[in-house]
Amino acid sequence: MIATALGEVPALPLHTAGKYVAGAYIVLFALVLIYVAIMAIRLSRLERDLGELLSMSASSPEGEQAPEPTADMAEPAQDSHAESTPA
Amino acid sequence: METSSRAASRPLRYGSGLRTLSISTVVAMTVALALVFFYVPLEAEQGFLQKIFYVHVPLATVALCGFVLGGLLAIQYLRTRDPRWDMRSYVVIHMSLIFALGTLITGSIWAKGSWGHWWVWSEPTLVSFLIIFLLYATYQPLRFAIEDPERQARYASVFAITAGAFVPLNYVAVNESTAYVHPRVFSSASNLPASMSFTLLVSIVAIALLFATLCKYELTAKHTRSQVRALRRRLAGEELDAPRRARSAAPAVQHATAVSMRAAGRPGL
Amino acid sequence: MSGVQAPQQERETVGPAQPVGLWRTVGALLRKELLVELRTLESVPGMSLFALSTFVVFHFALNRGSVEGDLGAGILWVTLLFAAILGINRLFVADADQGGFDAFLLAPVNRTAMLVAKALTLLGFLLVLELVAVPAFAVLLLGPPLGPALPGLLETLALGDLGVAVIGTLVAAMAVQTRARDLLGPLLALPLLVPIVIGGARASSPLLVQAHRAAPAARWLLTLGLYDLVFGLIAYALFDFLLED
Repeated sequence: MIATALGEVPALPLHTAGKYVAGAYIVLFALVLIYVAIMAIRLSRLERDLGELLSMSASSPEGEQAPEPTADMAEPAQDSHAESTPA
Repeated sequence: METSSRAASRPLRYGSGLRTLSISTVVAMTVALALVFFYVPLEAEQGFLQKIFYVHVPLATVALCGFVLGGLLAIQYLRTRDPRWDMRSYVVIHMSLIFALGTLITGSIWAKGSWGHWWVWSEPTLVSFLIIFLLYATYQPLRFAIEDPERQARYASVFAITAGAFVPLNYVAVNESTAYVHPRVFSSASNLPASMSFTLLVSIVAIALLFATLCKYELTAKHTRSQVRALRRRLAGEELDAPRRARSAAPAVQHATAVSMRAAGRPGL
Repeated sequence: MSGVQAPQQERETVGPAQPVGLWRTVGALLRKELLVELRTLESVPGMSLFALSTFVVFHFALNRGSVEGDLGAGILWVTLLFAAILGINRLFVADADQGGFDAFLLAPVNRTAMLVAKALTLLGFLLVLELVAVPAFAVLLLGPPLGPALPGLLETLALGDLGVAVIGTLVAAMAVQTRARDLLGPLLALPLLVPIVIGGARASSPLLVQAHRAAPAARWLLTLGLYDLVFGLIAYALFDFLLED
């Protein structure tokens, strides 16, 4: 205990020290992976949105009724296709 | 008009260069880890535990530089009033906050291994990071509490500059106050043998590249999402730049399509 | 503001009217602040009462009749800090709610005057607060006699107050225009004020001891002074950006 207080701690044995070192590097790994996960979720949402936009742009030049806005679309398309300016 | 047409011919792309950056990050990180675990000798006093040094100190260094960089980018915003600078400042500060959290956690693990406690007040880096973390944790709530986007950007920039100046001052002040306690050198990078300082340098470069890659990734993602929203608005026949977003802490993204459409003189799109 | 008699030096010219000089504006604003405070008594009595109550709370929380040294300095500085936060919260509220900002922005004056006036106001509040709190502290909690420690303590408090005033004004201006102003003000201010607490407490703790030293250590006074200077410059550079609209 006194040796600890004086800072003259003998080096931790490898098996205990190893756990701490591994823990520290795992923290870094986890932070990056969490970020990857967040980006993956955003990408899948983007893919879905682009898919909807593709179908929207496919139907509108033909002058058909716009597809009904799905529940999770951020901005529901109004029935503006009758008066939308040609792209 | 000329600047707008220039923007139209050279569309804004945050993602260019992202591939090179991420590959460099992978290479640097691999080299750094290899050096840490296969090359650098064990430190006499702390043994294997000391290897945390090579992840804790780079995280700390990069986070500190990131916070200061956030302040510099905010100065650019206040000078030019171009929202892109505010966007960059926001992303950099956000990322630095995450890296600061990493610093605190790895530092705490090191403290536990070294001293047996999950926290030690005698370690100036750890203490000053706690204070800085508490300060920058208010950045997002501050932004969120201001609705007008221009004012939000302006106030956030003032905060970023103040806090960026605070970071080095705080470090000095905390260092002064812990000087009387047993000066156990935790994270000193001075008087290191050459192999250790080289490894440390490579680790810092690797973490810095990681920081840059993640920031660019974030900027590209935000920009892409805003382009998709703009496309949706155009397809729905609405005004391209109408403020439709709900109250948010993130700054508004400019997109080249809006600029070029206005430049081309098309009404209402 | 009454008609301008003689043009004075100013940094910027605004519109056809002769811009009013900085110190003249500061004087006018200070008069207004003093009048408001004297009439409404909303800041200083509250801050002082808060400090007194906090001393009582500390007595019960720490279960001590008398404190000295580090503990004494700590209690004094923490109490003053939190009482200052109360003052910071109230600093711009009247201006924000009753259109004082707009009136100020329309006037052809140097906008830095508001920073100077508000910082001086807050400084004044803090000085009056300390007139009440420090003797109360000496009576209620402090073990060793205050007399010999007083000059050194006053030096330290003066430098600390200057820093709190500058940072407090900057933070108050940032927080008042937001939705959660009472929450964001303290959250922003506390980390920024930590170095002042460090300097102040470290400087005053050797004074509050029986066998005390005569003057606070120069390095802490230097730290405080330097911090005040840097943040004074930062506030001066950035304050105008907060007032734009």
